[in-house]
Amino acid sequence: MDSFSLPARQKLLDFGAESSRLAWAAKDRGEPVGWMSTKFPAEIPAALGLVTCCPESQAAALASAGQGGPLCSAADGLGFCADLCSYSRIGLALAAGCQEGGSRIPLPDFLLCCNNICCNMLQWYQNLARTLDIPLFLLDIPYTAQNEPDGELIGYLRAQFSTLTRRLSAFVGRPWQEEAFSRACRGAVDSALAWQEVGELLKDPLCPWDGMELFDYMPVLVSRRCDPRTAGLLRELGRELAALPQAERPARARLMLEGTPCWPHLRQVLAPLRQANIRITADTITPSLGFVYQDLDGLLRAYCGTINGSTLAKGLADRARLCRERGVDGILMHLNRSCRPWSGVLPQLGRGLAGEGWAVVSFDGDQADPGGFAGAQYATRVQGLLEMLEKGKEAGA
Amino acid sequence: MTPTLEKPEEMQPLLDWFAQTADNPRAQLEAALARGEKAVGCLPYFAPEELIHAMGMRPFGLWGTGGLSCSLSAGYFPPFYCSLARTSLELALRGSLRGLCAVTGTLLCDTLRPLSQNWAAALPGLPFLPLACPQQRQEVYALTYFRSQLEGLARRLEELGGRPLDPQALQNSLEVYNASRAARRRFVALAGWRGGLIPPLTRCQVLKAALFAPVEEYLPRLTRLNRQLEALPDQPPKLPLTVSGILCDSPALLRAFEGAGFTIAADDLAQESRSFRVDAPQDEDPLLALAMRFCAQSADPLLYDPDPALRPRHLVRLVRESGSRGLVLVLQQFCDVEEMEWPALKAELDRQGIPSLVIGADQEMTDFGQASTLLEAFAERLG
Repeated sequence: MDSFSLPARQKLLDFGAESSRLAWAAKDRGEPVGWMSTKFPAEIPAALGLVTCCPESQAAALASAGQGGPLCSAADGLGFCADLCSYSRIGLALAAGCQEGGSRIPLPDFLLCCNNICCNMLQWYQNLARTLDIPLFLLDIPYTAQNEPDGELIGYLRAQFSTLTRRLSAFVGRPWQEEAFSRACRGAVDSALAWQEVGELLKDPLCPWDGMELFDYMPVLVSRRCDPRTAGLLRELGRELAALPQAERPARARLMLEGTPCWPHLRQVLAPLRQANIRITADTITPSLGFVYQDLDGLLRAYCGTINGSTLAKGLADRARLCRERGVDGILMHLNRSCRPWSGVLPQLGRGLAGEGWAVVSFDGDQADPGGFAGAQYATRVQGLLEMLEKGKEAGA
Repeated sequence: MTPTLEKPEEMQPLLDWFAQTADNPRAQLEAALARGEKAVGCLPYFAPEELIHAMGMRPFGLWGTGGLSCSLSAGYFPPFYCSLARTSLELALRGSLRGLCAVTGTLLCDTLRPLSQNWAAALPGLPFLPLACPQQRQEVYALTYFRSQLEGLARRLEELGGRPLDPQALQNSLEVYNASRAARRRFVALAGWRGGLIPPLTRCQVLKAALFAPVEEYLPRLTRLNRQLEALPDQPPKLPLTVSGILCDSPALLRAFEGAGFTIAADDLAQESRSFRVDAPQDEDPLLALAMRFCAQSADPLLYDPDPALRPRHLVRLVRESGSRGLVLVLQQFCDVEEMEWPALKAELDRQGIPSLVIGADQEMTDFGQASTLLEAFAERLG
């Protein structure tokens, strides 16, 4: 038995896939279905019993299935240039009906937008609202360039929360219920804690599975983290993973993946690593979907603390801590063409991590547009990383 | 384009002053430093110049620069970032901004976010003072929040040697900057209707000088220029145009507009009219009035408006009311803000029968031959 044949894995994958079936069923019943930013507080629509889908997850899935190219081309035909984030281009192409065979998720009747991870999110969603003529509900989390949100920001967010929940409640025709919200929050926090427990299994030097497998469960964390069943399913996965026989020997090297995976070329990215017995034991995205808090202010603070929502200095400290906890030897940095706020700090971040002793290489790619990746460059960079790691080992010896 | 009106003798020295000021920002900064002033660099967008001014410091516009090949900033930014950010960082890394005591910026786009962080890492001796801006500007709580951010900025400026913030001083600054904005709006309304006396490059220099000159020197000169222009008769331009974008200040590109026969009748440029469209209101709390000025901004691609039709409507009205024959978007390479809104904007312009053209630009560009050809073809189409 390996990690791919675990019963708990299949349960979680099915649970994640169920989201789109539920969305289509809601649509068929005439209920409104929303598109929601990945880091919009999912607790809010969950409290109101609203069905939501995440177009970023959808774009990632489509890109993995080889449909990123045609959809980006379709967006180009609509006038959206290739410089724009490929997730947003794919979302705009879907909204314009460019998906042959229909979309995996229904088109939205409303939009839940949070700009904590980027400013482009708001512009994207404004375009969707205009194209589809549907309401946009915004939780504005301005970038403050601070390590932690201050009291004034929390006050602004709290005021928005009141307005937002009132407007959403009026839109769906259901009263806001504090108990339902508390339940959603408990579910989200429990899921986050269970998710952390699964991630920590990667600390084991003889862990037999690769950290990239965590991305398979991301749709659950994105769309169903408030569901009371999620934590239990994650803990079941954790138990089954922990029960697997350990690897016979440690990996040749342990890496952190920095950046959104290069979905269109993931096989090509991972193949040389697997061939060389190199494991991904840390990454910056999977931990970011766990929001742990005690109360409303804590929830709002948690949603301020996204990857692109903090300072470079804090980002460096957080990554260094993660790398130490997970026994990372080197960092493979994806200079994602689509993500401007993130890629703009990677050169300096890379120097910071190298300064703390890690081997760091970067490669050019894109999260969903296949044109952004150069296989030859990637192969060279991985080779360079292997050489740096070997030199590091020799120096250590 | 030969002007069809005779230029008053007293106008040319004024225009020379604006040109020298706009084209030599370092000289303005040196003059300020020689006077013992503390200067604060103001990155885009909507920098609170009045606050800096009221605290006895000099706001100094920082919108990147042309004629510079970025090498040092390439160590921080991958190539796919707008030249405004790259050249601003480059200037700082080369020491061309020596003398500034700080830089402030409003972080309203996905390039300004990493710029603030790269700046902090690369230039610890030139503090970056971020100013967080709310997007829910229509709500009272956004006003409260932004006022608190301005207060925070004032505290940082005081730590750097600014005078303690005095409400009366801020009130005075609001009034003088309101007057400066009104004068610039008046100039924009006049410049296109004076028979080619104010070609596109000169127009830009007059407006750009406001970024570098002390307002006490700029405003009286612009007021005199406006009076001279007002004394001349109206001469409708042959090919009036509205220009949109972040900035359009390359002399070569502006000459290309002139060469194609265009007069810039109106603009929707972040460096120009977008920055002085809205005044600070009267309020017993001048800091609140300054916050209100930002929150009253609208129809800007960087800012959220609940009505998605507001910005296209605004541009259509701008084109029509200025008598423009069309609109040219000067699209800064890698500006995702403008790239994202263009399809919807173009669709509305097409629907309204307004011809439009996109010209790609970058501050590192030196050859605008292609832009020149496109503008000439556009002029022929409109002619």
